[in-house]
Amino acid sequence: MKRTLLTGNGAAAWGARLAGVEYLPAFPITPQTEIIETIARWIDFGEMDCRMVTLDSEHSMITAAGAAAVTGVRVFTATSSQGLLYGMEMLYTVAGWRAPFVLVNVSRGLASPITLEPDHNDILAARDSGFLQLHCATCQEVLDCILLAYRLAEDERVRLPVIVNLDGFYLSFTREPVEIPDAESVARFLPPFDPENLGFRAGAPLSEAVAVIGGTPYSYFRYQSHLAALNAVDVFAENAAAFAQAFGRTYQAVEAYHCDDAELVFVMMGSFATKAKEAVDRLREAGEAVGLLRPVLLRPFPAADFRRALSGKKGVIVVDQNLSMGKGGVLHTELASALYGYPGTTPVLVSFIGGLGGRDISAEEFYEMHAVTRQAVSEKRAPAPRLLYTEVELREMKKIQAIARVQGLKEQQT
Amino acid sequence: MAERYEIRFSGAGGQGLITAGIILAEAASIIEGRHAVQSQSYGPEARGGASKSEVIIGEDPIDYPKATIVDACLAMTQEAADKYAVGIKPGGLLLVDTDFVKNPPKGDYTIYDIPIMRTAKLEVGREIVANVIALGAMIALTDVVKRESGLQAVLAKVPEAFIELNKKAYNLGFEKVKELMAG
Repeated sequence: MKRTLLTGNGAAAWGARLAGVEYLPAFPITPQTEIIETIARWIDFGEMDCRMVTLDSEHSMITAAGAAAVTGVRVFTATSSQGLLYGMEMLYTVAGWRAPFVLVNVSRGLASPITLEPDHNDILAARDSGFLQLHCATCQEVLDCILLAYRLAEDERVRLPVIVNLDGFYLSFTREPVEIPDAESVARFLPPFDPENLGFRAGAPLSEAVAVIGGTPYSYFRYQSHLAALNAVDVFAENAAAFAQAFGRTYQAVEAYHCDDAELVFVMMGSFATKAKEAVDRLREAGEAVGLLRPVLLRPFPAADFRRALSGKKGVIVVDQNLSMGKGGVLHTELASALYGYPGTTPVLVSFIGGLGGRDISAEEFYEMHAVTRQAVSEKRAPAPRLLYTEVELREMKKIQAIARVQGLKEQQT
Repeated sequence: MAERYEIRFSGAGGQGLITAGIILAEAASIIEGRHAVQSQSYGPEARGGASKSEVIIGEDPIDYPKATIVDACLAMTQEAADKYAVGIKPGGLLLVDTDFVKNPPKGDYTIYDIPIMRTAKLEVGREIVANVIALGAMIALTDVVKRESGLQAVLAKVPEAFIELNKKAYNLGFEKVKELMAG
């Protein structure tokens, strides 16, 4: 094991290398990241025994990844933002094939307008594809989650592809100290892929049938995928226990920070949740009983874990770094459906949208969200969802619009 | 919250400031065994234009890896100074290149200047080591890692043939700032 400074991209490449991936289909052009470049260099220098093939798009790349995975080899690939969307059709398709492989996504806001900075609308667009999702908050977690993801994907109770998500720039280009486990320990934790019955060969079909099926078999297979995804909650927990034993780092489907005695709890995903950690520390210094929950596993949705962790809490502050137009924050919606109708006190759920396109969320805004939620709890009534946006920002926007001579345009009011 | 010290290296793309940031983070985390993270701006502005690299150093693990408002800032160009000096803490430090930042923005921080590029060109003979001079200078200015740790981290990064060159550059940057602060 060695400790070194790695970017999130570097950590992802190391995860793939240690997992002993055998096949790497890649679309090499933007928005591709240094993950592929790093692995390509290792293959070129003979440090990694892996077949890399460059393809003409993310669509072909994901097709190749799925096709290879069902022949029984260990497959890795990566993309980012618009690239993930370009491959979207095939995400659904290869997940339906039950092709177990790992795809890393570097999250960035989607066009339009165009930004390069992170938010989660790209990865959440893949929410219903059948891919499982792990969300990382540190560079160490990126490396570790790739190893966890292979064990999860390849488990016979699951057999689904997994996306490991990291935030663009906040992790992808940020160097943090990372412990790189030694190859022997990884090989013990993650033995070579045993595909069992997954030995697809086009020239030697196991059976033949029509390509297009009706609702009865369709529903059956779709629901099978759903049940397999649900199995992944327990399988993840088992794997995380084995991981902790092997490497000493503990992961949970939902990471809890100072939650046991908390009255109010922040819920956030990804690297921006580390900002909430600092805010929790400060608020606790000021005597507030506050905590943080961060889902590492988003698909399957760890609903029971959330119910357990939020049981008896007074208020929940959901900060969504995404926006479903015409509805609001996706995590807020998911959490509400996970909590609604279950016995026990349902906490007041307050929704905020923040960090779109990498916009910072300041410490003061965390204090404000806390205060608003405290108020909501006392009034037993959640206020309307709110976008984190300051008056200074609005003035700045007006100034830019004035320069662009677009004054007088109609603006939607909240 | 953990005590954290934040440093920003800013200048033009291609000046090696991201590397300077990485070396400082390595000096703190790998050599001194403390906690450090390094981040950089990247994207359309990464070649030419203003670019920056930020390092956070602390005694405890650093939760949030992005610098917010920094204790010390280096600006190698006027554009970088104008853009990035605004995010310096009250009472902080700003180091600029004498020749390239003619009008350092005023604020509640102490401004120092040394001729970084000129030193690289005339005293070391290679402009490419300007970032190592800048690194030595920032370490002298901030004392955020030991002088030897910074040097060790620099030398771990460079090929054998360039060790003397980089050692000279690092020491020049370090000593020029110490002289300035003493005087």
